[in-house]
Amino acid sequence: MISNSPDPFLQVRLFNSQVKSTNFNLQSMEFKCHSTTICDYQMEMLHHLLTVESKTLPSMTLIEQQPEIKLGMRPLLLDFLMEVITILNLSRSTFPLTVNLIDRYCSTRIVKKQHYQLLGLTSLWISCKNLDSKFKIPTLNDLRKICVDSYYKELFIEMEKHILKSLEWMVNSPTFDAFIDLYLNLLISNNNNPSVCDIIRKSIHNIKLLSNYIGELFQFYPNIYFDYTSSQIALIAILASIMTLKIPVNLISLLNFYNDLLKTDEYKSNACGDEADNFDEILSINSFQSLFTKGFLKNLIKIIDNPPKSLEIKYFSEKGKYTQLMKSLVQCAIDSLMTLLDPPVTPKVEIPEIKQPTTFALPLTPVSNSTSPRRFKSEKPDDEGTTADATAVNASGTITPVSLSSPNKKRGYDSIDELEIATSTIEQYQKVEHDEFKKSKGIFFIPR
Amino acid sequence: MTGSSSQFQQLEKLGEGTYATVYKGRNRATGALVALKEINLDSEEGTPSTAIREISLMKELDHENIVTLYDVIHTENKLTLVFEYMDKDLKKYMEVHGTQGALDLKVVKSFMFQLLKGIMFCHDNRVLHRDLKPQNLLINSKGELKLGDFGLARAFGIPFNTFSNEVVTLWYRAPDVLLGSRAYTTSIDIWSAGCIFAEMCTGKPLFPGTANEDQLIKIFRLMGTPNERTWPGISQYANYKNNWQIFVPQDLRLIVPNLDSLGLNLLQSLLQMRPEARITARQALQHPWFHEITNPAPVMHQLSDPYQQEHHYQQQAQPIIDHQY
Repeated sequence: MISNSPDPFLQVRLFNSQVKSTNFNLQSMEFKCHSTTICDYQMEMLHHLLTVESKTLPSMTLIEQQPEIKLGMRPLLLDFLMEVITILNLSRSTFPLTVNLIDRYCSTRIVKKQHYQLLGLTSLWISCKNLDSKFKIPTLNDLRKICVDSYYKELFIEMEKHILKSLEWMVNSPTFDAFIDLYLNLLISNNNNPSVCDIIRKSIHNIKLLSNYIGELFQFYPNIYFDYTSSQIALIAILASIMTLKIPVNLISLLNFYNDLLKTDEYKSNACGDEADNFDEILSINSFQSLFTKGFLKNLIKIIDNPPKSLEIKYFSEKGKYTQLMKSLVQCAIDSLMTLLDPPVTPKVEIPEIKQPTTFALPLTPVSNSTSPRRFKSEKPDDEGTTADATAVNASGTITPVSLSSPNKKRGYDSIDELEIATSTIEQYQKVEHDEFKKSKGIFFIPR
Repeated sequence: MTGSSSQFQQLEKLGEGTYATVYKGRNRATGALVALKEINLDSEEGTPSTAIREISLMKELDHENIVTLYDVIHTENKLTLVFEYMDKDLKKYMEVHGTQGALDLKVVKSFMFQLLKGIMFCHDNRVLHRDLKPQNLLINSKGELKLGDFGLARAFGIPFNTFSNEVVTLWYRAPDVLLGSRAYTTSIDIWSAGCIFAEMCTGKPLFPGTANEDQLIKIFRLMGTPNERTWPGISQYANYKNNWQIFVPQDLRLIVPNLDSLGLNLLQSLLQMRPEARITARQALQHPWFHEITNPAPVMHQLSDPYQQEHHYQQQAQPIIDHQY
């Protein structure tokens, strides 16, 4: 997959980075140096990222007006792109930036169904050019191969031009992972509360990993993704990780810490330069409280337990870097969510409702056929209805998987009754949601 | 972003960069001068990553000490960036206005202040310029200095990404980068600023090395050869050698004799070998050497004299150029 780069220094650099990656002392030395320098600029960066973010938001309302693109197709496309990103070993920010570009383009231009994948791949190309090192950028030939010759090379070039022009070259939108890093760094360099600072520092790696995983998952669910900005998603992900990893930090005071950052003199003095934007808080207490309900926690379990195929490959495959750690983190998260939802002190009679061993065993088995979020199960009848149509545009219209394995193996769930119930409620909700989406701002699929 | 190339009249060539050619241009409607940066598009590569980074970063950076990007014209095989027009770059300016290249200390102070303000703004907005050198610092007739050419610029994150170490023209490259560090941070722009500072005072490049190794030796000759004691961890770097010739640190006064002691102190803080010991742009701007600028003083008036003459001269010369095209 990786192209033969014409860059003669490639081998040298690969060797150097290999040497470096084995040299832990050097890495930690450089990291220390970087973080001490960065401390000087944290508040300005936060302000700048929030400003840029406010200028680069997609609009759910506009996307819903697309005649051919359905929201249900979005997770399919993202799953495919995430897989490509994992295979090409691109940076963490590449995925969220790609998602941002796709959604923003869909908020400005009408996209034909058969061009949705083209849009996705070209967005990926642009964010890769923006974020990744030169020799990781796929060539046009790579792109053509990735989509199994669905599109001519010229189409990518043309699409690239359309995207850059439509987005007015603002292709540097801050991603949730940048916010996660910034938030955590702000927290551990805060001297006012050394005990919290210490607790967080001890498990910062775990928090970061789980938050990034949750953040990535959120990208797939239009409900939460479009209701919150990246800066909020990052904060929600951090709060959720801290809560589920049983780290003894008060969530409300943590939330206040972040919101108060925007009220400090340091921040204000920087903000007064451009009066246009004054951010009062990152995530209000109210929206936090209305978000972290039982329904949300229930859904959170389902989400982190059943990641889309691409994320499963990334985090839970046997060869994965994080497999062991991720398994234990997810396990821990699910356990604590379970206790939150159903305190063990008062064991209920209807225990079958949370017949856990079977459920959370699922994603932990690397061979599991878990698919993309079940949201688009509801699209299934629709898809079947248009089979004739689909075959007609087959050459360029359908989403082609990277690997040869069929993307439609959903058998994994069928044996578990409880999950089936869950699925059917989701489908029911899906219908309701389509009609009166704006009225009921449900979290994920389940109405409050 | 709706410009077309016919909107501008292309005048003489101003320079050739690594991936682009820059022309002087004139807006046909308003007569205003602009700089046109033309990038040829490759049919295999699409829009070059350098162009994507440069444009998207410059659209975020709106500051008096950073060149303004007015427009982007995207055609079939060419990408044209329309920038605000600046009279000359710092290198040319030094040739024309300096005594053997060396500038008056008042001018140096004003330029250094503006340079550091521009750098601080970039770093505040999580952008590394990565290619600071006199050719990329542009001066206009009002004596304003602006950072230009963001072709190598990158946005950086809290945990850094590793970048290629083939950045920054050799002479202005920081020792940590020369030693093979790829995880460098805002401090690399600061080192370049220090080199430029000395060059403005003396008229000569501070470390005109010919190759990586030679560049390091030139730096050591002045700053002293580092070792594990003066720079803990240095032996971990890929390009570290234990048989370097040992030099003792020189007094910067010998190299930059015309600079006062406060200025030398600032120069010393900018040119720290260890990246973590280097001053940040924000701290540098608060350095006492700049006090006469931070308190409004008549410095700027004295400064503008040579430019005004320059300005008149240019206005007379303009019509002749027009006829040629």
